[in-house]
Amino acid sequence: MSTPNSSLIRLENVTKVFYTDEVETHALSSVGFEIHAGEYISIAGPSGCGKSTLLSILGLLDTPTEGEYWLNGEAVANLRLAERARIRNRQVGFIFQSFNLVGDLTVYENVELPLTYRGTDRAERKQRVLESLEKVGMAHRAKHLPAQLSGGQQQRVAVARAIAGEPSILLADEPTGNLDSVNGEAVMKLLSDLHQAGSTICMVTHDQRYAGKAGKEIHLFDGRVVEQPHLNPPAA
Amino acid sequence: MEFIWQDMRYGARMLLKSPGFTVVAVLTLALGIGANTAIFSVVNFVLLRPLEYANSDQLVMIWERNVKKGFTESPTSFANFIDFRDGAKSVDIASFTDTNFNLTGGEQPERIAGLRVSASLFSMLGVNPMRGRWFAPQEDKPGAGRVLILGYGLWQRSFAGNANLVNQTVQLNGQSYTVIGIMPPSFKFPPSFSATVGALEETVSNADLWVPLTPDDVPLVRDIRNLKMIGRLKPGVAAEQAQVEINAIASRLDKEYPDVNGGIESHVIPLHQQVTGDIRPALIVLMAAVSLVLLIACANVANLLLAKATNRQKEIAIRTALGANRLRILRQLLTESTLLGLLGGLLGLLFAIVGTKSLIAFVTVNIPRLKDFGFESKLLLFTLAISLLTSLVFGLAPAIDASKPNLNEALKEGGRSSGGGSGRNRLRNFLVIGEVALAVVLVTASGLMFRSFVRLQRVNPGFNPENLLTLEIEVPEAAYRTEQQQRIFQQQLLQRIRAVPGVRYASTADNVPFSGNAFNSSFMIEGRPIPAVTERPRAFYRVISPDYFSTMGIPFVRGHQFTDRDSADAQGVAIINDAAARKYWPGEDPLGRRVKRGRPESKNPWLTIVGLVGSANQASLREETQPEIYVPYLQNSSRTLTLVARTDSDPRMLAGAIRKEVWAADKDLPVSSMKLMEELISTSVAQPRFYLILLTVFAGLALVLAAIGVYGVMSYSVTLRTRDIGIRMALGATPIDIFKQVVGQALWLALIGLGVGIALAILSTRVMSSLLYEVSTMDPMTLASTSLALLVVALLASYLPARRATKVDPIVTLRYE
Repeated sequence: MSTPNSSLIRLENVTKVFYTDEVETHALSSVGFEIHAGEYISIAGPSGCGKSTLLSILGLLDTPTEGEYWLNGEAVANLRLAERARIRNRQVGFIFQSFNLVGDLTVYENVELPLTYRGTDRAERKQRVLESLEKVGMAHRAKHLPAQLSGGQQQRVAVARAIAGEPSILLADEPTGNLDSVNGEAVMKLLSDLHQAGSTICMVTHDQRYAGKAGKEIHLFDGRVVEQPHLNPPAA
Repeated sequence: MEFIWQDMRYGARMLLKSPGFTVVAVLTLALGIGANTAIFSVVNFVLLRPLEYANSDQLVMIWERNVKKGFTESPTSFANFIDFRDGAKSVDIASFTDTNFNLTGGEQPERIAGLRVSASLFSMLGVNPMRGRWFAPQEDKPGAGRVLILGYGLWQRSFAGNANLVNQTVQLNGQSYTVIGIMPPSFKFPPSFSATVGALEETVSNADLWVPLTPDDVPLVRDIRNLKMIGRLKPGVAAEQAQVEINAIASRLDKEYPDVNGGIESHVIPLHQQVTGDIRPALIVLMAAVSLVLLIACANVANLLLAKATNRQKEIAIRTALGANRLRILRQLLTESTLLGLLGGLLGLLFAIVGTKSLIAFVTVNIPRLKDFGFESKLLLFTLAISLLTSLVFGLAPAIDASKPNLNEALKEGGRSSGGGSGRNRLRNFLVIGEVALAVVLVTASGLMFRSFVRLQRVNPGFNPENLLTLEIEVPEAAYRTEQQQRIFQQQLLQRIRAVPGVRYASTADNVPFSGNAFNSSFMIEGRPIPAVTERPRAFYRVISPDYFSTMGIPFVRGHQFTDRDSADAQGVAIINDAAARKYWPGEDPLGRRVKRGRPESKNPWLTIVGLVGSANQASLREETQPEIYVPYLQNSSRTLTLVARTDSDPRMLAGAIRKEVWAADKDLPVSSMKLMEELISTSVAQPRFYLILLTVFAGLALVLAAIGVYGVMSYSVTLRTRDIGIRMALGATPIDIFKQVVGQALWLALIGLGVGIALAILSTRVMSSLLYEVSTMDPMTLASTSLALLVVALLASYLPARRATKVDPIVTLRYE
């Protein structure tokens, strides 16, 4: 089986089942879609529909129970933990609802963290961190601790951290969920700007206003894709 | 009062609610308190308890001192003693000298450690006999009748506690003595102590019987110094005042008899200090060591309480919101820690009782006064005090910290643990650093003792101690009146022993190394000017039979050994050791030179040096070898003999056969002290071995507690940082990255602790330098090994938390949103 060169992400029949005691919960059932480089996709759906599970699998935080997942042409569904961590570090940038900055580290150190795990040398790290912070307008707060920042500022730092490693794709999980509308709008604009500049973005949201800002929407319901505009079937 | 009761009930409920925490905390405290109580019970018994004599703080030992000769605690002569006794107004003085007696007439002949004492000694000590009376004043005068006082142990052992023994006669050294008194079981005199006489450490031990010291038995001269002086200070007189007076007498004796007393001074030392002086530094080091263990235990429990306080933030916030003031909260928390401390103290007391009993049973080392060890009620008070103090030490900081919750945060979070903030984390880290630092001090101390002990064990004593059996024999004067009779007996004995299958060599000496019986005396060298008494050459004398050097394995350097031709009517001969050759004939050949034992005018014969042998240690592996002069037994008699036999295999197998041959030679001979030479040497290092074992136990305890501390902090840190770890993993940290992060944090704490600990160790181990042999307290090998040990412990202690950290599932930790 081959994958088209243009698809950055390709899922095929991805199923995720959680086993608790004697109960089987099907979080995802035969999900399949593609994301091409440069696309801005939103995954929408009601609470409990499997959005976060899908994002975890896309971000290599979790593995599917069944099905195939190609990232940049590489089959990544069943990799070992350390290998998944390596690919996640290089190809995925996460933006979380609750920012998830490390409280003991400064803004600069938080942004530097993925580059540290990648083994990037100090000079390059510094350059990339400062560039990323410049992009999100947070360079002047480099020495602050997260607790000294507002929610909107923390999320901008989280965006800077996600883009510092120049990943293949940015995965945003309800990026405005913990923000007021003004800060929410600002973050959405930041994502749009990044997309304009060439970033591939996949955003999970249940807010239809923001879902509509993406170029493509994937709707999930009960773990299934119920509407999938522009989806090309995988080549046989 | 009602509030306190309420606090205690609630505290007990809280402890029951977290049984895991309570068990760990109580056990940790019990180990620390138990170790302290155990060592304190020994320190109290040995150092703090008064001696068992009436008003014992008034008793002093009085020694002659000759700084020029390096004698700090020298006995005195009979004539000098009389001058000291009659001249001193601030102190009553008596004297004593140890003598061994052969007690016969019972089932087996027995050799008894006895003492010749001034008649006034018993009234000075103020201990009444259990039966009979003390010596009367006239009983130490020349020509007085032979009387003796028995010790309780000997009375029970050899006379089956015969109630009618007083006024009966017993046979000592073949002479009749009338028993006039029996002392109570608790009476011990002299108390065991060590004194540095010349270069050697001399141990004074309890005697089993006492006879008066008369000029009939000890010559009334000035140049034979074998009497020890004890004094009772007059009421209101301090030892220092007595010292001034005794010094004045010594100074007069120096001027009046410069040839024999030149350079003498005096040294007055409280008897209690004399008895405990030797052991004092060691016990202080051990007490310090267990205090460190307790501090480490406190740090551990404080850390546990800090962690617990984090989980109790909400409860404390609710109490505060309901109107409890800070003092009230503080009291509640301190009540809980006091309960913990008391439980720890109770269990610690049990540990201490069991531990001390095992310790004492295990101790073969001569620690003064420890033989009669018993627990005192004071111990309960000590345990209670230390438990309460401990509660305060470990409970105060966590209580103060927990009693000021951030109400808004604590209540808003709905009880979710927030990790306790950076202040609490800092305190936790600080405690762990402190624990590691204290453990470093203990491990360093133990390491230094180990290095010192290994060096001591490697010292070559100058002879081969393997397969060497020694046994002491006293040839009774009554049965062997002439020297000729003694020699014939000795020859027959040696023939019998050599004939025992498995005995390779056998010989006799009047004493052997490490037996504690060596003594040195002055001698003259022919052709050299006569030096002042205090400048005369001195050497250890040893009367030996042929084959002694082969038996002992002392290397013969050159010349010729003694033979049976070196008889009483042949030319007098001697063999010296290389220490004597180096000291008294530097750059010369001593062979063919002549020496004479004793004073210049002595009638002793001149002895030609015919051989040179290697030097052997006399009493301790630590000492430098001393000059020795060996003389043949055919030319010199000695009633005290040590039979030495070198065997082909384990000498213990032949002990029975050898003993049988001794009794075959003379059925009345007591064979009192049959020992392997290796045992004698082992006894000489028993004290350092004992300290080493104790310090190692405490250092091990400290390491375990420090490991628990590091484990606890890292484990808690991983729990608190689960979300951080999840974030890091989401950002691409591999399990190895996370593992390294956790272990790195532990190593960083350990490194800081190590730095502080090494500085503390260098400063504090100086107090134990007197316990060390050829090891500096800054020994780089010890410090390096300690550092390595601590880092390995930190590594191991952080391994499990680090592994747990790698198992964090980022999805679970990030899913709360």
